[in-house]
Amino acid sequence: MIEVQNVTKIYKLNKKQMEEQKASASMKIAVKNVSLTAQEGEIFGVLGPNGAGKTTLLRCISTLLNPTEGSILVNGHDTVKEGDQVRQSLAFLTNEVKMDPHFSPKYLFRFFGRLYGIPEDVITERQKELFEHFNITEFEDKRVEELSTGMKQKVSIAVSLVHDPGIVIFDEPTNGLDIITARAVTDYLKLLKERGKLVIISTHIMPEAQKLCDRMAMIIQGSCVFQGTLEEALVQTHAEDLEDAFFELYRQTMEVEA
Amino acid sequence: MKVVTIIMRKELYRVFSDKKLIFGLFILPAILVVGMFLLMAALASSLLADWEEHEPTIAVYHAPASFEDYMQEYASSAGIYEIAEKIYHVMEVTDDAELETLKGQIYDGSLDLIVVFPEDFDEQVAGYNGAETIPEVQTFYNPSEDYSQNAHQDVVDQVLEKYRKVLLERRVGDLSSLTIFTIDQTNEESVIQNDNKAQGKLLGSVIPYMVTILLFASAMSLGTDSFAGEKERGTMASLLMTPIKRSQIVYGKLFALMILSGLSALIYGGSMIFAMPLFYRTLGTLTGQELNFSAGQMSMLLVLIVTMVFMYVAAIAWLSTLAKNVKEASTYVTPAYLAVTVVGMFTIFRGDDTTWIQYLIPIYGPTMALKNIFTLELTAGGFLLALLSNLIFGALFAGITAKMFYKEKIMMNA
Repeated sequence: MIEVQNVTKIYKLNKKQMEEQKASASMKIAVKNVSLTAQEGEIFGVLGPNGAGKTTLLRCISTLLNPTEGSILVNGHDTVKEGDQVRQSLAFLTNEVKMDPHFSPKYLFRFFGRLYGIPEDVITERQKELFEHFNITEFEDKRVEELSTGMKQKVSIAVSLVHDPGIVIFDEPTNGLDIITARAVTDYLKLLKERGKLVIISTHIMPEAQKLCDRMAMIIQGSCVFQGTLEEALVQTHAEDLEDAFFELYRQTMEVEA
Repeated sequence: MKVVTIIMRKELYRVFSDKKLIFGLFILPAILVVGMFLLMAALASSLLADWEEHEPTIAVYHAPASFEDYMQEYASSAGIYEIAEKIYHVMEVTDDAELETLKGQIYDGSLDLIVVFPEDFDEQVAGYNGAETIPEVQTFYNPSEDYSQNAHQDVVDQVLEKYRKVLLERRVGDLSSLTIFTIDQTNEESVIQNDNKAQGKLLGSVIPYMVTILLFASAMSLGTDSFAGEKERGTMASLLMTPIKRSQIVYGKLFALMILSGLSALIYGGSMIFAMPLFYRTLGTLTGQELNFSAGQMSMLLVLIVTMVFMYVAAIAWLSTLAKNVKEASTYVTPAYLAVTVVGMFTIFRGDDTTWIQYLIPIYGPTMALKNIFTLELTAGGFLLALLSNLIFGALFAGITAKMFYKEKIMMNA
């Protein structure tokens, strides 16, 4: 279970970063007082346009970043004070977390398995299951750099799941993937949910979220403007689908901001 | 420790499973060093052979009769003389107007030497009564031309000096009456020295400099790739997502780098030690000086080098972690490399009087300690202080690097 409590994340920008991001202020509020709860056995969507603060929020949950204010509990462990325990129970998949292209999927799987302290025979078992599921077995001894983009993504997923985590956080899971690989990934997310895991995904593709997510939070300009099920979103906005519901919420937020 | 070993093994495997890296790190340096020395030896010996083969041409002005008599014993045919197994072409000149033309030839290198005697040289020598001016023999040569420089040296030493002695003997009869005392003419045991220390003085001036630079250079490319490269490739984040302590990642990487840099430096150093005698042997100047370490020297050398690698690797790790990518890391590490080079050069020209505070100065102290091992002048205190310097600064850099691994601004560019 994940409990995000009044989390705010502020980036301090140096001159170079201000130039890069064309920002006029030396502070950037990426996440503004966000609270949400996600439970085991559900796929929870963090939805919003690019730059809304979705990735920052997921990075905070994954311990890669510390919240400036507020706290996050993962299975009761604080992400700042008990980072090691938090990382033991979750997997974080994002385009920024990459596999070393020099090594083979098999080597990487075993290497990360050992880092998680998993016994050798369990690593072998997990490898067999995951590699077969994602059709990696045939390429397990090839270097990652020789694999296609889709296969690389599948290897990343398999390696990240070596420790059979209870919580899987996936930033833009189908971004840049072909239709077949994307389907394999979404199918696996559903399978994880069926096994009682908590899956959190971030996406700006509303039809994908509508199909996958049991509950969702909509983040616009760092703030959480909605949290609930698809039905609740549709009722609240009088919309016919999630995309329309999102745009209605986006319009309302912009009006308030203006 | 188990996790540190896992990280270390992965880093080592990364290098040893890459043929290009193995070639670049371990084989190419050996080939380059040996090849460089062989090339230098070949060039130097061909230069020497060229000097040997050259037959210098010398113009002699107003050669006095006594000189012509003296030179008769070296004459092989008209105008050609053989002195100390070398052929000289000598032309006698009497026309003063020609002197400027011949000086021009010296200047452009087509003539090697001009020797000018006074016109009445024999008369001046014979009529010397103590009150008159001493006759002067003038030579003209071009020191920037090797042939001219060598001809001048040989003719002055082999011909004019001996000719002067012959004339002196004629004047005073017994030359030994002019000798008040000799120095060490029969004493063959004049030199009392520790041979190891003598050869150490030569080796000690160059080897510590080479060691310190090679260790840093070998660690540089590996270190920047291991820290900044992983950040650039996005593979560092996958390590940070595991439940291990971040300091364990740093220490695993540092140990692997120490092994790799040490090995690379060993190959560099080894190939130099192998190639240097080849170089001297080709030149025929090998003096029998070879590395001859006692067990004590050897272990002090080893301990100092190992701790030195630790210090350098930790410093490179710190600078590379600050950078976002390998390119940026290289710009941070290069000034440190220059500092190591300059400090290393300093030790070549410094005397042996290292104070205890100097032994503690990073880079400088341990490099001086290395030098003093060769000259047998390293005290136990000096050794310990140099060791301490390496360990303190190495631990400091390693500690800072480990701390930086927890900074999201540095690790995640946030």
